[in-house]
Amino acid sequence: MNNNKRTLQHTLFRNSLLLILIPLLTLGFLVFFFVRSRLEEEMLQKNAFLAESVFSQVDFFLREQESFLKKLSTLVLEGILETTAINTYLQKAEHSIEGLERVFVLDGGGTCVFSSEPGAVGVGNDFSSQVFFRECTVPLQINWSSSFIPILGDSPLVAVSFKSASFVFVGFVDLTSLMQSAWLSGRVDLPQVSIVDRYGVFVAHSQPQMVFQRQQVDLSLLERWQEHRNQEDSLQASFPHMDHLVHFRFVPRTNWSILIEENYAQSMKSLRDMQLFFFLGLLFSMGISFFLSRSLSRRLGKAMGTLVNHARAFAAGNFRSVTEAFPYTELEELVGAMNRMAEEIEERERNLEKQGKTLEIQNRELRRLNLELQAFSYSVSHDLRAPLRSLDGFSQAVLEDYSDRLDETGKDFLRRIRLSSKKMARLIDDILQLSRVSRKELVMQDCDLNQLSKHCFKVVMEWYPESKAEFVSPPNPVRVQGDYRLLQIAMQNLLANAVKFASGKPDPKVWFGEEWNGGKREFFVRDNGVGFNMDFVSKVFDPFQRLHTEKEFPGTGIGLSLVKRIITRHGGDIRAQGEEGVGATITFSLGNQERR
Amino acid sequence: MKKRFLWLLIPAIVVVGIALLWFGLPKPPILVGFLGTMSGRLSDLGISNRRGVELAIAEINSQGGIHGRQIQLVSRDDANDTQQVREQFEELVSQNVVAILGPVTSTMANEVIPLANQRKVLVIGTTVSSNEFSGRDDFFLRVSSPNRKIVEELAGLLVKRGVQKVGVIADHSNPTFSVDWLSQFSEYFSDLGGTIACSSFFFSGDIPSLENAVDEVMSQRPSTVLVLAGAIDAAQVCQEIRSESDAVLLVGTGWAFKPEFLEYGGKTVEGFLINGNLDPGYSSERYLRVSNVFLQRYGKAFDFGSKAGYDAAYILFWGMEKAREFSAASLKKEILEQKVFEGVQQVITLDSFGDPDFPPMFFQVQGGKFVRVESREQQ
Repeated sequence: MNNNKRTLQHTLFRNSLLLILIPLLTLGFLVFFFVRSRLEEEMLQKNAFLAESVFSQVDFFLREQESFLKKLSTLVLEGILETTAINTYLQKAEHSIEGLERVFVLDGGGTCVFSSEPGAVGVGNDFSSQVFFRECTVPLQINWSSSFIPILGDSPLVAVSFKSASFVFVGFVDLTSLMQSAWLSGRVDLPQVSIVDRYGVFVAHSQPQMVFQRQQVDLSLLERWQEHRNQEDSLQASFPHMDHLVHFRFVPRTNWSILIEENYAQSMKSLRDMQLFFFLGLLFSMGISFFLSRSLSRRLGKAMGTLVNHARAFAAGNFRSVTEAFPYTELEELVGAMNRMAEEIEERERNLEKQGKTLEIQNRELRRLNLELQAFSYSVSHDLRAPLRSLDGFSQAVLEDYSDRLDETGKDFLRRIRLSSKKMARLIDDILQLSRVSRKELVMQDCDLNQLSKHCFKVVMEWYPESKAEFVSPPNPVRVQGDYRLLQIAMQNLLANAVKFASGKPDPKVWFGEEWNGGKREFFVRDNGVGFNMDFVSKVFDPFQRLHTEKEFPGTGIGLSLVKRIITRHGGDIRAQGEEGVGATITFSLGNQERR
Repeated sequence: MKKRFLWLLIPAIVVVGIALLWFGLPKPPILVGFLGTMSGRLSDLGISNRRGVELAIAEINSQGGIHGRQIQLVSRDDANDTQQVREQFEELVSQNVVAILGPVTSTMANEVIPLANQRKVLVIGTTVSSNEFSGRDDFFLRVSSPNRKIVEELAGLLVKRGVQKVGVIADHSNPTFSVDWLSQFSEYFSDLGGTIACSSFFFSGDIPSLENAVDEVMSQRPSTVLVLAGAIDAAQVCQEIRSESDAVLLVGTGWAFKPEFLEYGGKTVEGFLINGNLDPGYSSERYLRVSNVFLQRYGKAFDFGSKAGYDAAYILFWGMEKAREFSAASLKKEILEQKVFEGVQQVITLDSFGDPDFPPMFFQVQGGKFVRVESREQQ
């Protein structure tokens, strides 16, 4: 068992998890980015709309104060209001105009000549250094001041002033009323709305203390807005700042800016909730997939275990049909296939058994016939040798004892009988040897083929004493695994052939060696003898086949057949190559031999 | 092998994550408290003080903060109310501010100092000038001189100008200052042969009480009226007095030494004699730069309140730079050991109790401006 392999449960869990996670995550991220972009877009639109609404309210509020001052100037300058009635008119107006806290009419030197205060308090006061007088220099132009504490009050307000003829008409505008009209709620779930003057000091805020304390907005934020306005010359812009999305709306009338600050995290709460639910869902899915895969793997594991037991029983030869019920169609089909396979194997086994029995009978018969044949051939060979010896012996006796009675023809006939009987005896010896080689059991051992070839060459040279053949062999041992006796027979035959066929040459040579041919170790015996015509190469190793006449080169025609059989029994190959008048080479291998 | 690798990987991820969070997150800001009167009729002083502090903080933050941490201001409004100032002090302490700049008036300081000593929180008063707080080894330091020398010199200046009788109109909403100031003045002025002909108190924000106080004093027809009030109230007093008499010499204290006094008073404050802690004609490079930035930022002139806030903030920053820890004792020790600080206009030399001692400066309103007049010492 390989422990590094994954378990079925692990694989099922991983795959089911991937099947759930990949689509879920892909979908989740797509939805997340889509919803976020929609929320941001909606936030921008909503804030722009809110800013515009606040602007409309503020603009209306401011316009009302301005209209009053213009109307007042007309009433005063055209003498519609009598001088004695002006203070009373101002007091009434102060109560009728929302946000208008005090009204003063100043003369050209900045001295108060009319006042809305009860008892005309303030009349005679010098306002010449106050910003609402100093900055109101252009006739018929409305001027709005920054917030300040009035000399007759203790809460900050802004002043609107209007110069007409030699009078300056001044209204003090209550910032609390402005805040109310600008819908500045303090609700944390809504964007924070505030209004700042050109220095970033709050003139309206959902937290009134920011106005009363004349707190200032983050100046870097204001700088960004002013830079934007300088570049774009636009009245509104949105941009992120810290963790807020800020929308600015310029109020040209007063040089104020309306700020809508949306807490980004707060606004994205629904998205965060969705993310939370998504991740909880993801965790739940992971849990479900774990339990499903666990349950599935258990059921499958149980069924697979049963199947494995049956497969083992099949392997042991027990082809009992699988009868248990399995939970899945595929497994049922597998069981059906296994049962059919078992039936087929059983049927084949029965056939094989039957065929085996037949083969065994045939084999026995063959062995018996073979033995009989061997016994017959041996006895034939042996029995043939006895009459041959008699033939030769009596022929010799006749030649020796009755030579004086025989003429030369009779003696010649008898000598021929002796030669034929000797040749037949050699032929019988060779057939017997071929038979023994075929039957003999191989005794494999470590042999030095080089040494063996040298030894065999010496023996062969004794057979052909008149030969002057020279033997060339490699300097090193040629180690092989083989049956020494058989290899000796093979080498003797090969070398005898080589010496025999080279004997007619003036400088006969015989070579033995080894070579590698395409990764295969091969051995060769070569001579520079008469060679042979390659047209007849297929007959070289056939028994009793001869490529030369008996007269030229005596022999039985068994030698190379014998060699081929020995080589074949060693699992090797043999081939011949020759050229008439040049020489012949017999190349052989001995099965899988490595250089030793 | 794989499992072993996983077990190594998980802690590695955790450690790397924590390290990234730890080193990647910006250091938290250092909280500095500001306590001042920022609403109501006296709010001009508190707001100009706060703006001076804000400017100093913006400068130090742009230079990288202190010990690599940015400074964040937590400001609280005491509304010149003795109950509220105590609550707001506790509120600031609960927010773990390293020190509190302010309060801006002596009456508020009178409430805060015992709490500061009790809670061991360093408080650096900005425009608090009552003599009451001098010579005390406590957790209260300040950047404004005690009144004694100013009062003494003003008394001398008036006598030198031939003033023998003075009527006094004083704001009783800051009694620690006004009563202390008046008693000191009375003492010195009497020593020089002068007398307080009459005195009347009003409460800031209560316009009728101010009008009554003016009426009461003016009924005595004094040749000189001493006004102990903030800028707006002092201007209103001047408006009231000038509607009755152009001849009266009007004299005030540094409390009203603000642009608002000129703005609200208009022509009625011409000739007003006043002491001040800031010379508008000063022309050092630093002062010009700071006052210019202030004007750009707020659209208002850099006044003595802003200067006091600015200087107090820098003295605190110096202590924070040097102190090993931001405890009140440690900060106080470092500041008092240093003693001498380069203020935006003057060298601020603190005594061993944390009180500075500036030579008094006197100004007279001429052409809608404060024009410096020479004091007795300078003569």
